[in-house]
Amino acid sequence: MWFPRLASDRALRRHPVEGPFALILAQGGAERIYCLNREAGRRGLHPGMSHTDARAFCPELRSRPADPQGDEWFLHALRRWATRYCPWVGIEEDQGLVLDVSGATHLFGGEEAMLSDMRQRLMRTGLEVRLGCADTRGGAWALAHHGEGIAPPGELLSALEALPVAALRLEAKTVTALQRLGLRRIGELEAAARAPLARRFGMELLRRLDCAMGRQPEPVTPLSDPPHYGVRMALPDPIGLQEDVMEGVSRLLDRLCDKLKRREEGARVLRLTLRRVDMEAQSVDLRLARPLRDPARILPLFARGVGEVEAGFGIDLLRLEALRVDRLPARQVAHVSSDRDDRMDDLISRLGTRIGLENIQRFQPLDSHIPERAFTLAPAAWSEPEGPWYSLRPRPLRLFPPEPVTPLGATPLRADTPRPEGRRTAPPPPDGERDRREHLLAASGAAPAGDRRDPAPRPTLGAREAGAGAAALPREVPTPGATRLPEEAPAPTLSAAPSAAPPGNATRGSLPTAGARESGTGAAVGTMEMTAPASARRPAEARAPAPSSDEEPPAPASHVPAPHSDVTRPTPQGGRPPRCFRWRRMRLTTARATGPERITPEWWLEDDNWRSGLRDYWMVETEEGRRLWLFYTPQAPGWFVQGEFP
Amino acid sequence: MTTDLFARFPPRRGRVHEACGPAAPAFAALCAAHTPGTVIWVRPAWGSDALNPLGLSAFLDPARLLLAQVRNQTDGLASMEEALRDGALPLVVTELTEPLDLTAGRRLQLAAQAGGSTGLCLIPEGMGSNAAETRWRCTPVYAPDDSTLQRWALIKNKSGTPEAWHVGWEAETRRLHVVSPPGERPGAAAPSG
Repeated sequence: MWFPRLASDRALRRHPVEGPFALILAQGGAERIYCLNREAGRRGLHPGMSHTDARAFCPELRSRPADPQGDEWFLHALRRWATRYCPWVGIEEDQGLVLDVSGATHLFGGEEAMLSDMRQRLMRTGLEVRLGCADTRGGAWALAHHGEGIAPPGELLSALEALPVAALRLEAKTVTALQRLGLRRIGELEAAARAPLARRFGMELLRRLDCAMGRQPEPVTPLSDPPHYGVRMALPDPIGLQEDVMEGVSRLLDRLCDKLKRREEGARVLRLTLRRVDMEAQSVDLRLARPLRDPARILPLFARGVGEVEAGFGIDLLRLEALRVDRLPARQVAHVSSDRDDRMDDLISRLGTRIGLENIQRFQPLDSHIPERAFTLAPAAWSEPEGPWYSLRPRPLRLFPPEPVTPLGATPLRADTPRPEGRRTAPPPPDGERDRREHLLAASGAAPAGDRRDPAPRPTLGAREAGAGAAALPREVPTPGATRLPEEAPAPTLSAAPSAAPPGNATRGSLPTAGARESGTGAAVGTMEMTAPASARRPAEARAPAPSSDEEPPAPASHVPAPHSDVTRPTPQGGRPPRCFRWRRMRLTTARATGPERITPEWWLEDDNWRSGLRDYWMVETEEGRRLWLFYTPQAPGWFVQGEFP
Repeated sequence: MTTDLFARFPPRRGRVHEACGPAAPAFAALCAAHTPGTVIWVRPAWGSDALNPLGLSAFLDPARLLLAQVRNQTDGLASMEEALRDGALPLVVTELTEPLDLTAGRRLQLAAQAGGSTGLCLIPEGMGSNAAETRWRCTPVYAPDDSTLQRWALIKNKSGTPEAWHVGWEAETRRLHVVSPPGERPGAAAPSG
């Protein structure tokens, strides 16, 4: 049984079209004709032709995109249909069926009658078919593809000898070669000496020939029906009460679950279809958190869906089908029952019927330094809890999309600038001051110039840490200690940093060391704790610099040239969180900042949120209590809040 | 004199409680840490802020947490009621965005009693329901030597008096401890209230 135009016949069955018609499939960057109807074939089109050529030949060509997957399903449906003739039906290539009708023909009144019955039925459905019937599979193929007909039993050779050699299912190359040798018909090939043929063309040719002639067996491989998990119940009288429907469902479930149990499978998706007297069908879908085949557990999950069904004049047909099944091997029942897990799965299924099963999720760890990509949410029904969860640094409890903060009045520079007055942060600064600040801001954002270098934008770890040191330096420095710095550490290096710190430096938590670099994937992370002295946080003496001098030692390492005076002191204020800022309409004052922790973007992934380049994260504890996770983007200067600590 | 926090703190089972204030998620996380078994956290899917499991791992194993993303508050309340009534999960946390009316609050309370689970609603300030057993206002407090200090004020209590505690959290040992009020703590700004 060969369907030469299966795909286009199928497409035309659904939407009939007059005139030439073709199905188009994109192959190798060009749209080519996949299958066409008889009318189009008559105009000189052929499969494999490009669509544009075909349109040039035949301007009135109608076309649709091809669907090879759907054609395959259609062929399988045809295979199932063909089992009405005989039980052994297999699929032959992608456009044919092979039926082993031995012993079945008399049921239809002989081979002739059977073939005409097939032809009639298929023509009625609009499918073009070529039928061939022979003692062997190869012979039937040859007859179906090259001149239809029936080879009477025992006279195979006479039926086949006039057919071209291509009817033997040979490669095109072999066929051409045979034709050049003058062997055009199967009869001629059969008459030729076998040994030279085998030497010239290999065993394949002779094998095909023997298969067609019946000297070598070629069995039909029937496909088995996939297990079908569907049960139905027709009722003599329509029912309308919810309890009645549930009772019916319970009986159907018993039958379905028996089937599932025999195959050690569990239902994942169930569909209950209720047909009303007026032939209106309503369905209730149930998705389960775990594969289940226990009727007692599944039945209550249907209650909600059944309650929403409109019964109308009554329901007279119930149909229950498992749309998806998963393996569920039999398990040893332990005397310590895992009742709790089962109850939780049931609860997830039940919540899933209301809010959608994929909306019940659990966290799964991912390997990434990017805070928002360090985890993923997976539907709980299709995942297992995973772990462990590592975080080397404290992470905020809540994350939100970065929100810009507005630094207020006192930038770090302002906080550092020695002032005779106690509190000069809130009022706007005089113009000269503002100019200078803006200038410095610009300097920190742009490429570092002269001695006002801001090392922060440099992407290397060493430079960053030095930058942090530099950032730390002017924060508390308007002290004699700071001016001593150049003599103490004229050529500061990273390794010199911890040793330069006096032992009394209790508030300086962890200095950046090589260990601060996390092994891994491109995120260089270091943390430096910078704790302002307690006295400096008191509002009354907040920005008075003098009291801090005895507690804060001179910052040890810096690439920044030594400060010579307060005015020209380089202040890479980009590196330090603003003293005072506004976030979500709240005015917050930084009391303690821990950081920075530099996280570089993952260059191998495109992420618009990380366009602004690397980020220096700070945990900022405010005097108001809120503990925020701020970051600074040195490559596009700006401060953002991304999370909140508890 | 204040009573022991731990007479109040893992809030009473079989009841629905409320928490408000900026540190309410931390309060919920601490409740979850003090509850064995799986915890479900119901939150609106449209909320822009997300729970960070890495931050959560300081309190409890994030694998113990189920997240239910709901479209609206009705779905959220229905899910919470369902989970409470079922009782398979010992703690149900719900983030609410709109005020609860008395019926909804009472229904939750009845469901919690039926299932024996604890419910915890994280509510915006001033949107509490009268049916709640307790209401906690949780605010982070700045302290010079403690990055976890919070003030938990019990502002509604059906079976006791309002009180307040200052608590800290030790991530290494996963232990909650009550600390002295900030008035006696040098350098800490005294919180209002």
